[in-house]
Amino acid sequence: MNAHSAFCAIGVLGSPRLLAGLNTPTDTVGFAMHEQVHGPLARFGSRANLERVLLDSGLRGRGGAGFPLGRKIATLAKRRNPVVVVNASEGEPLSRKDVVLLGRVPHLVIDGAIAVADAIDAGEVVIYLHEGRPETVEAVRAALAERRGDLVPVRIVEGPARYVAGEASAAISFISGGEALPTKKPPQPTDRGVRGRPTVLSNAETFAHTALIVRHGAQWFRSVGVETDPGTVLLTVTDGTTHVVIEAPTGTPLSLVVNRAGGSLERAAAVLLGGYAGTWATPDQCATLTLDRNALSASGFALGVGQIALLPSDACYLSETARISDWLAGQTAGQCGPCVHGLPDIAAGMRDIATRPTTNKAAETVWRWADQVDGRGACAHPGGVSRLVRSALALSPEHLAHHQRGLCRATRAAFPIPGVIAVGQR
Amino acid sequence: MDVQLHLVVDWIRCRGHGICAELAPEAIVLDDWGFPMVKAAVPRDGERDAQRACDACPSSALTLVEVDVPVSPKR
Repeated sequence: MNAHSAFCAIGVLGSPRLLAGLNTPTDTVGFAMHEQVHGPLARFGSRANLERVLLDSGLRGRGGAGFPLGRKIATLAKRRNPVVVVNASEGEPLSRKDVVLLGRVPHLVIDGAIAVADAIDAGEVVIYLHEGRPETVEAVRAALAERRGDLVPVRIVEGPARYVAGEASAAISFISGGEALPTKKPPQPTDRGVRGRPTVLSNAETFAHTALIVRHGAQWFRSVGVETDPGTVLLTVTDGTTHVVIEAPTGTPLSLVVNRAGGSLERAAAVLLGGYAGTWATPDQCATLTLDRNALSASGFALGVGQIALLPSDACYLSETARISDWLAGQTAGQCGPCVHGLPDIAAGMRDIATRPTTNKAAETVWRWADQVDGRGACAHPGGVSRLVRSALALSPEHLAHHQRGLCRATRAAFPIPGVIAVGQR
Repeated sequence: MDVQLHLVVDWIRCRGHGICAELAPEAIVLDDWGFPMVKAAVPRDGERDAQRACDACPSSALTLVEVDVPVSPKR
């Protein structure tokens, strides 16, 4: 099995930007082809110009939080020798967008990071990758070997394969020589990041867009997508077994994205949006949603890491939630009490609800625990589990009642759990 | 701008001793596992208890910080 292969199917709605130059299901855009498709790398010229162009472009971080990159640059401490970190430690079991970006269009990501680093006079660019995806590491190494005369040195750091190792403060701690564990905030990375230096850390996709903004300008970037979050986005559409990465302008209906990937909302039992620490939605709800961060958030949803996971019709979202929350409980960094103690209890409670007859009290208790751990930790991990579990309990009162009477007959485990080899019946 | 006092827990340090909730029960209650849940802002007459709770924490995990908040219009 080659589950993390860079050669994952791709698709485009509208004109490709990040995925331009990819023609076959397996090709990679090498450096010569990259310059042919996009032209040579331009420069922002100064820190002030970088900040202005990025603010004008409206580019928001593609890692989940959606913070405008221009505002991040504006808050960057004005000390010498800052660092740029490309966070590509894709720890989401079903996400493939970093694999596609770094495996197939790596020069866009590298260009974007170098353009930012050049403008702020950074000492280095660090590409932070996730251990256990060797194809990605090889692809980035090969890409770096193709390049000549980069303005700023670039190096690769491989982080451990733990889920929370990709959290920004954990990434900075690891790159600085410490453990890949979240740290207390403040300080923010923009003030004290890698080895105490002011640090611009963003997601790989954010830098890839930056590589095009520096070439074509802010107005070009804004020419597609919604006003409040312009440009295109990459999404992984998956049913747990096959994965398709789609590039689409923001504002596109979710149903079009799913159809372009060859999936169907109507045939899904439920849809998990935003990753394993995401939010369950019904297919009917999804049919009303668009790729608009603000509108999604107003409806109680988020695309998080850019993932749309379609649950097959013979699987049950409560059972999936029990398995996923059990895995997420095991992914705690082990530092904060509510997470260390709360998540295993939440997972056990979900397992009871999913597998045996229970009363309303069981669901109420899990809900109370989910409320209690939310927002109480050094990182957002417990909040992610809260979101997942509460959305599962709220999705369908009818199906929950079905479980409480022990009547759900779905036995298939559809979404893979890392480290669990056979995805079969419990 | 108005200044409010907020209790802030350093979750990496906190070991769930629970002393804070005994000293400042109006501002802190414990969750189901014995870890503190702090109320948003410490009321003026609760400052002394809140400061005692911070001083008594064996893990030095609790601090009182001043937070600037916009003045709300008069109701």
